[in-house]
Amino acid sequence: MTSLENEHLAHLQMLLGSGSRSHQASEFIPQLYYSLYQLKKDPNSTSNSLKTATSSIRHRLKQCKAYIEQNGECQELLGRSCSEWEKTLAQRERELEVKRQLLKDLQERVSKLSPA
Amino acid sequence: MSALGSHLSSGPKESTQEDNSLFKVEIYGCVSEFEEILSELATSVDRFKPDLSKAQELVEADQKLSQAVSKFSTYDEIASKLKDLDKQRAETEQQTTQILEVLIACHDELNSIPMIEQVEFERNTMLNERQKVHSNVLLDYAMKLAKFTHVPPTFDKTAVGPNNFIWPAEDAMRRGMLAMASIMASAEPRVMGSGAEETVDDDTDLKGPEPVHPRGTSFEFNGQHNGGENSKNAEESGMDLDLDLFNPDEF
Repeated sequence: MTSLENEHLAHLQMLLGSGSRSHQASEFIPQLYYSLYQLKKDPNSTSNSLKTATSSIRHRLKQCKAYIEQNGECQELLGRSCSEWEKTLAQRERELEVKRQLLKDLQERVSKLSPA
Repeated sequence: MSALGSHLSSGPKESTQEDNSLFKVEIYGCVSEFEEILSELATSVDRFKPDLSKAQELVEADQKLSQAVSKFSTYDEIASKLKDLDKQRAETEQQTTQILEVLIACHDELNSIPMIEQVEFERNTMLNERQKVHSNVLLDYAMKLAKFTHVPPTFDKTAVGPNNFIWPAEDAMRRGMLAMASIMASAEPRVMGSGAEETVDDDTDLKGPEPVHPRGTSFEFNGQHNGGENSKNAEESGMDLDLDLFNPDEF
């Protein structure tokens, strides 16, 4: 099981029900298949309908969408592709390195100025 | 993405920026697409007209959704790196802020210290001023001292006269034998005016100044009369002018 440190991703993964099988199909299809089987088994039941049977799936999908809509941090993270994020991370690392180099240069200059 | 577009058009009014940010989220589009196809499939099944193409589309949407979810681990790593970078950036900025504060404090402190040229100029000016003693400063100082200066307590203002001094009064000195002798000595050469004496004077001038006799010890008031010693000296010098003006018996 893949444990995610990011709380937003972990929550979405839990809602989509693919925590234990991240590389396989979600659990929606088996559930849908079972609902179709129940409907086929008893087609004359008035309370049996696919819409009712799949209401839990649709509810979880709506929860997932609402969570993304309400969470700006989650939108920012998932709004870029992984390759874009790689470039962004590299850029930020370079900027950080430049800042560190500046501080290092400043430290050397101060060391030269200060008496031994 | 058509599902995403339909959702955005049918959903509550949101800002354009939020729409764009939602449109960029891949998982949001996949969920919306899956939701829409599922709804269409359920409607067709409930109407007893199952649409197999919708079932196929649903399977494909499910695969897309699964692929999007499978990227969560990568996004999780990215989020961890971002968090780490943000932490490092915050530390660096805090360090920079502290360094800037220290530098500003050092700058202010250096500015508060006078320059060496200014110090030298002020020192030279002060030394020049010290060399001059102004009269008003001197008088002020004298006035200050006068407030705390008194006549010696042993001095008796009421008793006027030479009895209070170890030396004779000036009037007594002027009337004394020494004064008379000096007057006579200065008057005689003018009265006499002889050439022999002038030659003697010339000789003495040629010989130069007479050797200076060592001065006697200064008088020490010890209550003893040392007139004998003085008379002996007078005999040695060949003159007895009775010039001992001091009489210790007067005290």
